[in-house]
Amino acid sequence: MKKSISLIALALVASSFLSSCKKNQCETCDYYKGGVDTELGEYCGDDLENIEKNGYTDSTGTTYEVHCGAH
Amino acid sequence: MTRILQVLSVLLIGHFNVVSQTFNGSIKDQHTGSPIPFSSIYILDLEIGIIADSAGNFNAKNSLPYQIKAKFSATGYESKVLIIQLPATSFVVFLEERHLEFDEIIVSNNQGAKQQNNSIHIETRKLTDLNTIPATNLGEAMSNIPGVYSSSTGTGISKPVIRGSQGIRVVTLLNGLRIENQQWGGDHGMGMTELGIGSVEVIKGPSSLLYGADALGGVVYFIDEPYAGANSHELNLKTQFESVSVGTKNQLMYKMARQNYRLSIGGLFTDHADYQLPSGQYAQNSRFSDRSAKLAFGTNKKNWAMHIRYNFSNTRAGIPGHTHDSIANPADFQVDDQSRQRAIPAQVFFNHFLSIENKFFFKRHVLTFLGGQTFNRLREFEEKITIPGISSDLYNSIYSFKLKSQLTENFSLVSGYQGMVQYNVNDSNAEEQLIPDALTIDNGVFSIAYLEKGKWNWQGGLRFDIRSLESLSTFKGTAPIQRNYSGLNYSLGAVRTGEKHTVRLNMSSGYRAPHLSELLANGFHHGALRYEIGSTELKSEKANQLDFTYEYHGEHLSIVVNPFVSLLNDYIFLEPKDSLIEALPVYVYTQIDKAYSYGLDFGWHYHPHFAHWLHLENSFSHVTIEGREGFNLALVPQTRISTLLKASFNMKTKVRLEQFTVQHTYYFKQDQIAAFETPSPAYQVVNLGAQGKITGKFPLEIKVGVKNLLNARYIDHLSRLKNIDLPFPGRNYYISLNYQLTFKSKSNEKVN
Repeated sequence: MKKSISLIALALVASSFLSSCKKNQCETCDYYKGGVDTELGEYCGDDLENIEKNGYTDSTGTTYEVHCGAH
Repeated sequence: MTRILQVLSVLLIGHFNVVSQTFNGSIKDQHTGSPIPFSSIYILDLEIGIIADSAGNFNAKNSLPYQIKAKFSATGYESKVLIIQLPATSFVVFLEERHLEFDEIIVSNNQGAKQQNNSIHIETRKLTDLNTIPATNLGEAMSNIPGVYSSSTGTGISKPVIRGSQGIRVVTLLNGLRIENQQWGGDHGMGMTELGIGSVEVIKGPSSLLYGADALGGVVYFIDEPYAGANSHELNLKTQFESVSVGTKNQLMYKMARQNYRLSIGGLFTDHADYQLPSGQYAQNSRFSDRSAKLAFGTNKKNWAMHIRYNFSNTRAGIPGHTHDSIANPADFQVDDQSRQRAIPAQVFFNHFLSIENKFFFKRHVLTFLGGQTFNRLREFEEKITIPGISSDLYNSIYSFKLKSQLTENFSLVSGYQGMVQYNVNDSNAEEQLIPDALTIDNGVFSIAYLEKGKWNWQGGLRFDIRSLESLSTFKGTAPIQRNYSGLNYSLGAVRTGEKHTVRLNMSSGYRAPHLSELLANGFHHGALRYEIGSTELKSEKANQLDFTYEYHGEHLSIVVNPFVSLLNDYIFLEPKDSLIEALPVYVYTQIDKAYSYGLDFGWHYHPHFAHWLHLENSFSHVTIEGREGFNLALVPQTRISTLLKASFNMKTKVRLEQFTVQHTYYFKQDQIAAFETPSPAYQVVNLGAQGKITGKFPLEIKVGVKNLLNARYIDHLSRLKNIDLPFPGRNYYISLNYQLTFKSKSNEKVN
């Protein structure tokens, strides 16, 4: 019984801290062009970080600042 | 260095050539002589709890040193603290019946003495008492203590304010470990959750003697819950729901104790959506979540005891009311839909606190070594969800040696050496750096003498501190700086304890070297919505306080009157300038020669003889802080009267109502304001709560109630959302369930 309680407690505590990871973060992103917010869709993990850092480059070679998530 | 420590340890431990000591006896009623069943014994230095049996007898089977300090207590009796030479067999302790419990043991002052024998007035509260009406966060819970307020940014970010001082003027300790969590930012929260915290002690006013530099406004000292009782296991599951933010708080704690080692482990998870305003709308982006974990391990053998403690916490709090508009429109921050989705702007904290405490017990001496390491990562996200606006890491290594010597029966001396090495480093990926990378080293020596003579207890001491601060690189055009600061501080006090009356007078001083942010800040502080500029010309702040306390302890009435006056020299503050940078107002750190702070904390607790089930508690807190003539300082708390009416019932049914509580707090208007600050109107809040229990094989404690019963619209003067006219939460229903099981180790017999 003691061991069971200990294991359950440890498992619950551990699971609450290991259940979330930055790499799994996904957000919807958009950029602002000509007075209009244009949606780019959902980005996750490293792709999300890259699009926020480097911006979005369209077919004309113009790079726009990108915002992701609720703001 | 390691080898030297090892050799020292061997030399010290070499002296412990005694066998473990016997300690058994009984606890009895002073008047009737009858045993008090299930009374408790708590050995203070070792943190060992023992429960007497149904005949009031106890037998400590632990390995104990030559001498122990133990607290004997039982429900309805006045507790006693005794120093006991071991071995002690058939030791009898008599306790006197009391209707009012008012005398907790003070841990933070090194002595482990009862409050009434302490020459400094220290507020000590159990967290369960502060949460009679469950608080949303630790800051809110602490604001139930007279003279303590909470500075908040919504419900997710809060920090304590002691007699008008906050941030870096308030030092926070957790079981003796100094907590560094970048308190310099007005919007930076405390970074602590209530997980595993049993009680809190608050020392108001300058307290550099015991706690070193920076404790100019006061000290908050958190103490862990006790370990499980000897040879038992405890499992505690607690869950709480609040309607106003559809918020939940879930906590699981497991504790076990064997004869010579003890363990506590637990986790807490909190999640709140945007809170509802009295109007029915929601405070946009006031959502927050906390995750925290705790591990504590204690062991003792003969004349040695060790405690290892680790705490982790991660908080993500939305920053409500964020705007770059010079004239904000309050309606922009009050929305129709409630959300708990991750959003920006937000503040994210990571904290790791590790401490290792070793105590060595000699016949007349206790030597304590505390070593600790803390890490705090603060990130504020403004425009990007993955790239922080600012990101700053703070590493803090702490060391403390303390020798407590009982030189004669009535005279003791505590001497020590404390220090810390702080390394502050910015994340180069962040968009902005507000303060430079820097190294700060503190060292201090102190000695405090305690003398007991008849009804008098005296305390006096001196401390010398030195701080070295060095910025490590050129920062926005300012070349690296190196500064040294030092301070000599004192404390002198006396207390006279009579049967019913206690008077206490204490004089103390404190010093605070300018913080890195005050010297070198130069940048946008998104959380605080301002552009901050430091000054390398700042000198150390100094403070002197005179604090008087009168206490009356009758059988049914207790009264505390605590006036104080402080003189603050070279007071540092942020002065708003009439200019904007990228639409954010510019603030510059500056200082004034003199400022005065004075006020009064007053409280009484009445427990009528004709109705022992009724408790009426009332407290009054007032502080005035004056700068030079015609110049006031900002963020002075509103004067407050708080009243608590508690009815306790002694029902014997399976489903029982145990307590009913009404809490009323009235805040007077605040018109003591600084330039660019606006007055705050008076307001009042009424809370209602009931507590009951479902008994049986698995007892369940239930709390239900409502906070802000009248759905009052109010904004506290210390709220950072006052400038955008964003009120506190509206009517808030809560329910809290607390399920606790205790098992005895040997027979697995359930005792609760």
